[in-house]
Amino acid sequence: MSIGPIEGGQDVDLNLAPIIDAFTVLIAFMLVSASFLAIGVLDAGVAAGGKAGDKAKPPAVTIRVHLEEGRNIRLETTGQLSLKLTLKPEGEAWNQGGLQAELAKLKSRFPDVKAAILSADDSVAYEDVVSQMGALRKTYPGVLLGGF
Amino acid sequence: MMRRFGKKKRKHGNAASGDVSLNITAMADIFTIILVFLLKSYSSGAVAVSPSAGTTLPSAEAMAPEFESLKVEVNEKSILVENQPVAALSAHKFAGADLDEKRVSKSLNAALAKERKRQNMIAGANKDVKVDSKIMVIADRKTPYQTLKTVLASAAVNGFTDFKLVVVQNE
Repeated sequence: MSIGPIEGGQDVDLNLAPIIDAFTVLIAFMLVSASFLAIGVLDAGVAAGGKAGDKAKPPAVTIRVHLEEGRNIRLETTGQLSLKLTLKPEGEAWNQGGLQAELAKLKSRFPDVKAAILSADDSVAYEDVVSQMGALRKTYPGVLLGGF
Repeated sequence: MMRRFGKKKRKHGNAASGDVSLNITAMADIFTIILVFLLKSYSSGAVAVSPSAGTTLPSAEAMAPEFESLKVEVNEKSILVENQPVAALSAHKFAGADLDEKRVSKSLNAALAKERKRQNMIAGANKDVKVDSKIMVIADRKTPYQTLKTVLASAAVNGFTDFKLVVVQNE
C-alpha cells in the first residue's frame, strides 16, 4: 500500500506488518473464545396440586404424557374424553411421530386446550424429556412438568 | 513478520533482481474479512450461559434467553448455584441423606433460600426491583428425571416457579 507521492516529497510505504500481527492475535483470540453454539431456553411450569382459583375454568380435557423407561410413551386424557394409549418405541427411538399424530387429533377435537402435562420415570434422561417436550410444544405450547 | 519474509525471499531470491518485499496488502484484506466475519458470528446474547466442563446440554427448538436470572447447574458430580457448588451428586444422583421426606434437597434448599432472601432484601430496599420467580436450569443431558424433579421441587418451595430449561438450539 503506497501513499503519495506527497507534494515535494517521496513515496511512502505504510508498514502493514504490525497490523497483520495484531489481526493474527485478534483472530486467534476470537477463534479460541468464541462460542458458536446458540443457547436457547424452554419455558416449563410445574404441574402440582393446589387450591384452584374460584373463577378458574378447568380445561375440557387434561392431557398427560408419561415417558417410560423402555421408551414407551403413555398418553392419557381425563375430563370430557377418557383415553389411555401406549405408544411403543420405533426400534430404539421414542415414537415421536405417533405421539404428534395423536396430539394433533386431540388438538382438532379440543382446540381450546393449550397445555399438557409431561412426566417421566425416574431413570429417563433429561435429554429425552427435553426432546419430547419440544415435540409436545409444537401442538401444546404450555408444557407442565409432572410426576411430583 | 515482513522482515522475516523479506529475509527469506532475499535468501532464496534471484541475485540479479535485488531486494524483494512481500506484498502483504492482500493478506491484510483477508484478515480483515475473517475478523469481521468472526465479530459478526460471535455469540454475544443478552444472557451469558457458560456450563462447566463435562456438562453437555441437550438440544431442542427453543427461544433465545431474554433475561438474566438465577442459574442452577446440574452436572454429574454436583449442583451449582450461580457457579458455586452447593450439593454433591454421585452419578447425577443426590445422596439419600440430603433428601427430606418431600424429596427436596436440604443443601440446595438452603442455597436457594439464601438467594431468595438476598432478592427480597434488594426488592425491599429498591422499589424498582421486583422479586424474580425465574430460574435457569442448566442440566447435563444424562441427568435422570428423578434428579431434575428434586431440583425443581427445591426451587419451587423457595418461590422459583418459572423454570427456564437451558438447551442448545437446533439449527
